[in-house]
Amino acid sequence: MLLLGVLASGPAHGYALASELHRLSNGLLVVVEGSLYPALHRLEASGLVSSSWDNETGRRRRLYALTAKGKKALKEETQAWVEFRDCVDEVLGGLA
Amino acid sequence: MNSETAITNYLSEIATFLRGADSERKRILEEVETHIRDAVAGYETQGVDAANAATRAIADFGPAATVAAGFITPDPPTPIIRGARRWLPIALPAAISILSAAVFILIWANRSSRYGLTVGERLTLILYGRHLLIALALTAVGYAAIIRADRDRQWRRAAWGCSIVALLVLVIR
Repeated sequence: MLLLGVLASGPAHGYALASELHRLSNGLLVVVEGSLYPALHRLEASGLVSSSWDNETGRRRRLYALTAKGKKALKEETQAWVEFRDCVDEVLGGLA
Repeated sequence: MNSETAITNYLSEIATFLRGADSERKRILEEVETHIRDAVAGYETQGVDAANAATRAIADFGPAATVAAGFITPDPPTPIIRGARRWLPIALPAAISILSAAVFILIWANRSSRYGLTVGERLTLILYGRHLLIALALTAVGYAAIIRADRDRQWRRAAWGCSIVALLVLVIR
Protein backbone atom coordinates (compact mmCIF):
# COMPACT_ATOMS: atom_id res chain seq x y z
CA MET A 1 0.00 0.00 0.00
CA LEU A 2 2.85 2.38 0.85
CA LEU A 3 4.56 1.71 -2.48
CA LEU A 4 1.29 2.35 -4.31
CA GLY A 5 0.86 5.52 -2.24
CA VAL A 6 4.25 6.88 -3.28
CA LEU A 7 3.61 5.95 -6.91
CA ALA A 8 0.30 7.85 -6.78
CA SER A 9 2.29 11.09 -7.05
CA GLY A 10 3.91 9.91 -10.29
CA PRO A 11 6.11 7.24 -11.88
CA ALA A 12 9.39 6.51 -10.11
CA HIS A 13 12.28 4.05 -10.18
CA GLY A 14 13.19 1.81 -7.27
CA TYR A 15 15.89 3.93 -5.66
CA ALA A 16 13.69 7.05 -5.80
CA LEU A 17 10.81 5.08 -4.29
CA ALA A 18 12.93 3.92 -1.35
CA SER A 19 14.29 7.43 -0.79
CA GLU A 20 10.81 8.97 -1.00
CA LEU A 21 9.37 6.47 1.49
CA HIS A 22 12.21 7.28 3.87
CA ARG A 23 11.68 11.02 3.42
CA LEU A 24 7.87 11.00 3.70
CA SER A 25 8.03 8.93 6.89
CA ASN A 26 10.58 11.37 8.40
CA GLY A 27 13.11 8.55 8.47
CA LEU A 28 10.86 6.21 10.46
CA LEU A 29 10.33 3.77 7.62
CA VAL A 30 13.57 2.19 6.50
CA VAL A 31 12.91 0.08 3.43
CA VAL A 32 15.07 -3.02 3.19
CA GLU A 33 16.18 -2.20 -0.31
CA GLY A 34 16.66 -5.80 -1.38
CA SER A 35 12.99 -6.53 -0.65
CA LEU A 36 11.76 -3.52 -2.60
CA TYR A 37 12.17 -5.00 -6.08
CA PRO A 38 10.53 -8.36 -5.35
CA ALA A 39 7.59 -6.35 -3.96
CA LEU A 40 7.47 -4.20 -7.09
CA HIS A 41 7.64 -7.29 -9.30
CA ARG A 42 4.73 -8.84 -7.40
CA LEU A 43 2.70 -5.64 -7.75
CA GLU A 44 3.45 -5.67 -11.46
CA ALA A 45 2.44 -9.32 -11.76
CA SER A 46 -0.84 -8.41 -10.04
CA GLY A 47 -1.39 -5.62 -12.55
CA LEU A 48 -1.27 -2.89 -9.90
CA VAL A 49 1.81 -1.23 -11.38
CA SER A 50 3.38 -1.20 -14.80
CA SER A 51 7.03 -0.73 -15.65
CA SER A 52 9.18 0.34 -18.56
CA TRP A 53 12.82 1.15 -19.18
CA ASP A 54 13.72 4.82 -18.94
CA ASN A 55 16.92 6.21 -20.47
CA GLU A 56 16.34 9.91 -19.85
CA THR A 57 19.02 10.37 -17.20
CA GLY A 58 21.67 8.58 -19.27
CA ARG A 59 21.45 5.45 -17.11
CA ARG A 60 18.88 2.78 -17.94
CA ARG A 61 16.36 2.56 -15.11
CA ARG A 62 13.15 0.61 -14.68
CA LEU A 63 10.39 3.15 -14.14
CA TYR A 64 7.30 2.03 -12.22
CA ALA A 65 3.88 3.63 -12.59
CA LEU A 66 0.50 3.07 -10.99
CA THR A 67 -2.10 1.44 -13.23
CA ALA A 68 -5.86 2.10 -13.12
CA LYS A 69 -6.24 -1.17 -11.18
CA GLY A 70 -3.50 0.02 -8.82
CA LYS A 71 -5.27 3.33 -8.24
CA LYS A 72 -8.48 1.50 -7.39
CA ALA A 73 -6.62 -0.89 -5.06
CA LEU A 74 -4.88 2.04 -3.35
CA LYS A 75 -8.23 3.76 -2.77
CA GLU A 76 -9.71 0.61 -1.24
CA GLU A 77 -6.63 -0.10 0.87
CA THR A 78 -6.52 3.48 2.11
CA GLN A 79 -10.21 3.32 3.05
CA ALA A 80 -9.65 0.04 4.90
CA TRP A 81 -6.63 1.51 6.70
CA VAL A 82 -8.57 4.64 7.77
CA GLU A 83 -11.39 2.46 9.14
CA PHE A 84 -8.88 0.28 11.01
CA ARG A 85 -7.05 3.32 12.43
CA ASP A 86 -10.37 4.94 13.52
CA CYS A 87 -11.39 1.68 15.17
CA VAL A 88 -8.11 1.49 17.14
CA ASP A 89 -8.43 5.19 18.07
CA GLU A 90 -11.96 4.58 19.36
CA VAL A 91 -10.81 1.66 21.54
CA LEU A 92 -7.80 3.53 22.90
CA GLY A 93 -9.92 6.67 23.38
CA GLY A 94 -12.38 4.63 25.43
CA LEU A 95 -9.59 3.40 27.67
CA ALA A 96 -8.22 6.88 28.38
CA MET B 1 38.56 -4.05 -2.91
CA ASN B 2 37.50 -1.16 -5.17
CA SER B 3 33.87 -0.24 -5.66
CA GLU B 4 33.59 -1.73 -9.18
CA THR B 5 34.89 -5.11 -8.03
CA ALA B 6 32.60 -5.08 -5.01
CA ILE B 7 29.54 -4.34 -7.17
CA THR B 8 30.50 -6.93 -9.79
CA ASN B 9 31.08 -9.60 -7.15
CA TYR B 10 27.78 -8.80 -5.44
CA LEU B 11 25.84 -9.02 -8.72
CA SER B 12 27.58 -12.31 -9.61
CA GLU B 13 26.63 -13.70 -6.21
CA ILE B 14 22.98 -12.72 -6.67
CA ALA B 15 23.05 -14.25 -10.17
CA THR B 16 24.10 -17.62 -8.76
CA PHE B 17 20.98 -17.72 -6.58
CA LEU B 18 18.47 -16.43 -9.12
CA ARG B 19 16.14 -18.84 -10.90
CA GLY B 20 13.81 -18.45 -13.87
CA ALA B 21 14.04 -17.19 -17.42
CA ASP B 22 17.23 -15.51 -18.63
CA SER B 23 15.35 -12.32 -19.58
CA GLU B 24 13.87 -12.06 -16.08
CA ARG B 25 17.23 -12.69 -14.40
CA LYS B 26 18.86 -10.08 -16.64
CA ARG B 27 16.18 -7.55 -15.73
CA ILE B 28 16.59 -8.21 -12.00
CA LEU B 29 20.37 -7.87 -12.15
CA GLU B 30 20.11 -4.67 -14.17
CA GLU B 31 17.66 -3.18 -11.68
CA VAL B 32 19.84 -4.15 -8.72
CA GLU B 33 22.94 -2.72 -10.40
CA THR B 34 21.21 0.58 -11.17
CA HIS B 35 19.95 0.80 -7.60
CA ILE B 36 23.40 0.07 -6.12
CA ARG B 37 25.03 2.64 -8.40
CA ASP B 38 22.40 5.24 -7.44
CA ALA B 39 22.98 4.46 -3.77
CA VAL B 40 26.77 4.71 -4.22
CA ALA B 41 26.31 8.09 -5.90
CA GLY B 42 24.07 9.14 -3.01
CA TYR B 43 26.70 8.21 -0.43
CA GLU B 44 29.43 9.92 -2.45
CA THR B 45 27.49 13.19 -2.45
CA GLN B 46 27.51 12.88 1.36
CA GLY B 47 31.31 12.73 1.27
CA VAL B 48 31.81 8.97 1.59
CA ASP B 49 34.68 7.60 -0.55
CA ALA B 50 33.83 5.30 -3.47
CA ALA B 51 34.93 2.01 -1.87
CA ASN B 52 33.05 2.65 1.37
CA ALA B 53 30.04 3.94 -0.54
CA ALA B 54 29.85 0.65 -2.46
CA THR B 55 30.23 -1.40 0.73
CA ARG B 56 27.44 0.56 2.41
CA ALA B 57 25.14 0.41 -0.62
CA ILE B 58 25.58 -3.36 -0.84
CA ALA B 59 25.00 -3.77 2.91
CA ASP B 60 21.81 -1.68 2.64
CA PHE B 61 20.56 -3.90 -0.16
CA GLY B 62 21.04 -7.05 1.89
CA PRO B 63 22.68 -10.48 1.57
CA ALA B 64 22.71 -11.82 -2.00
CA ALA B 65 20.91 -15.06 -1.07
CA THR B 66 18.13 -13.17 0.75
CA VAL B 67 17.69 -10.74 -2.15
CA ALA B 68 17.49 -13.55 -4.69
CA ALA B 69 15.08 -15.54 -2.50
CA GLY B 70 12.68 -12.59 -2.56
CA PHE B 71 12.28 -12.98 -6.30
CA ILE B 72 11.43 -16.66 -6.15
CA THR B 73 7.69 -17.11 -6.40
CA PRO B 74 6.49 -20.26 -4.68
CA ASP B 75 4.96 -22.82 -7.04
CA PRO B 76 1.19 -22.99 -6.89
CA PRO B 77 -0.09 -26.12 -5.12
CA THR B 78 -0.39 -29.09 -7.43
CA PRO B 79 -4.03 -29.59 -8.42
CA ILE B 80 -5.06 -33.17 -7.66
CA ILE B 81 -6.81 -34.84 -10.58
CA ARG B 82 -9.73 -36.93 -9.39
CA GLY B 83 -12.14 -39.38 -10.97
CA ALA B 84 -11.67 -41.20 -14.25
CA ARG B 85 -9.33 -38.50 -15.59
CA ARG B 86 -6.77 -39.51 -12.97
CA TRP B 87 -6.24 -42.92 -14.62
CA LEU B 88 -6.30 -41.63 -18.20
CA PRO B 89 -2.53 -42.11 -18.83
CA ILE B 90 -2.67 -45.89 -18.21
CA ALA B 91 -6.26 -46.57 -19.31
CA LEU B 92 -5.44 -47.61 -22.89
CA PRO B 93 -2.32 -49.77 -22.23
CA ALA B 94 -4.09 -51.39 -19.26
CA ALA B 95 -7.15 -52.24 -21.35
CA ILE B 96 -5.09 -53.59 -24.26
CA SER B 97 -2.80 -55.54 -21.89
CA ILE B 98 -5.73 -57.17 -20.07
CA LEU B 99 -7.42 -58.06 -23.37
CA SER B 100 -4.15 -59.41 -24.77
CA ALA B 101 -3.53 -61.40 -21.58
CA ALA B 102 -7.00 -62.97 -21.91
CA VAL B 103 -6.28 -63.93 -25.52
CA PHE B 104 -2.84 -65.27 -24.52
CA ILE B 105 -4.29 -67.43 -21.73
CA LEU B 106 -7.00 -68.75 -24.03
CA ILE B 107 -4.52 -69.76 -26.74
CA TRP B 108 -1.98 -71.13 -24.26
CA ALA B 109 -4.64 -73.27 -22.56
CA ASN B 110 -5.47 -74.89 -25.89
CA ARG B 111 -1.87 -75.51 -26.96
CA SER B 112 -2.15 -79.26 -26.30
CA SER B 113 -5.63 -79.76 -27.73
CA ARG B 114 -6.46 -81.67 -30.89
CA TYR B 115 -5.95 -78.58 -32.97
CA GLY B 116 -2.84 -77.63 -30.96
CA LEU B 117 -0.12 -75.18 -31.94
CA THR B 118 2.84 -75.81 -34.15
CA VAL B 119 6.35 -75.20 -32.78
CA GLY B 120 6.51 -71.91 -34.70
CA GLU B 121 3.17 -70.79 -33.29
CA ARG B 122 4.31 -71.70 -29.76
CA LEU B 123 7.48 -69.64 -30.16
CA THR B 124 5.46 -66.70 -31.47
CA LEU B 125 3.12 -67.04 -28.49
CA ILE B 126 6.04 -67.05 -26.03
CA LEU B 127 7.41 -63.90 -27.65
CA TYR B 128 3.94 -62.38 -27.49
CA GLY B 129 3.78 -63.28 -23.78
CA ARG B 130 7.12 -61.59 -23.12
CA HIS B 131 5.97 -58.38 -24.78
CA LEU B 132 2.78 -58.58 -22.79
CA LEU B 133 4.73 -58.89 -19.52
CA ILE B 134 6.84 -55.85 -20.40
CA ALA B 135 3.69 -53.86 -21.23
CA LEU B 136 2.05 -54.95 -17.96
CA ALA B 137 5.17 -53.98 -15.99
CA LEU B 138 5.21 -50.55 -17.66
CA THR B 139 1.51 -50.12 -16.91
CA ALA B 140 2.21 -50.99 -13.26
CA VAL B 141 5.00 -48.38 -13.15
CA GLY B 142 2.56 -45.91 -14.74
CA TYR B 143 0.06 -46.74 -11.98
CA ALA B 144 2.68 -46.02 -9.31
CA ALA B 145 3.60 -42.77 -11.09
CA ILE B 146 -0.05 -41.64 -11.07
CA ILE B 147 -0.21 -42.22 -7.30
CA ARG B 148 2.96 -40.17 -6.80
CA ALA B 149 1.65 -37.43 -9.11
CA ASP B 150 -0.74 -36.36 -6.33
CA ARG B 151 2.33 -34.85 -4.62
CA ASP B 152 4.47 -33.93 -7.60
CA ARG B 153 2.97 -33.07 -10.97
CA GLN B 154 6.12 -34.25 -12.82
CA TRP B 155 5.20 -37.87 -12.06
CA ARG B 156 2.14 -37.55 -14.28
CA ARG B 157 4.48 -37.01 -17.22
CA ALA B 158 6.32 -40.17 -16.20
CA ALA B 159 2.98 -42.01 -16.22
CA TRP B 160 2.26 -40.78 -19.76
CA GLY B 161 5.78 -41.84 -20.77
CA CYS B 162 5.25 -45.36 -19.41
CA SER B 163 1.91 -45.52 -21.18
CA ILE B 164 3.38 -44.56 -24.55
CA VAL B 165 6.25 -47.06 -24.24
CA ALA B 166 3.79 -49.80 -23.15
CA LEU B 167 1.60 -49.09 -26.17
CA LEU B 168 4.64 -49.20 -28.47
CA VAL B 169 5.68 -52.54 -26.97
CA LEU B 170 2.16 -53.92 -27.55
CA VAL B 171 1.99 -52.58 -31.11
CA ILE B 172 5.53 -53.58 -32.15
CA ARG B 173 5.12 -57.21 -31.03
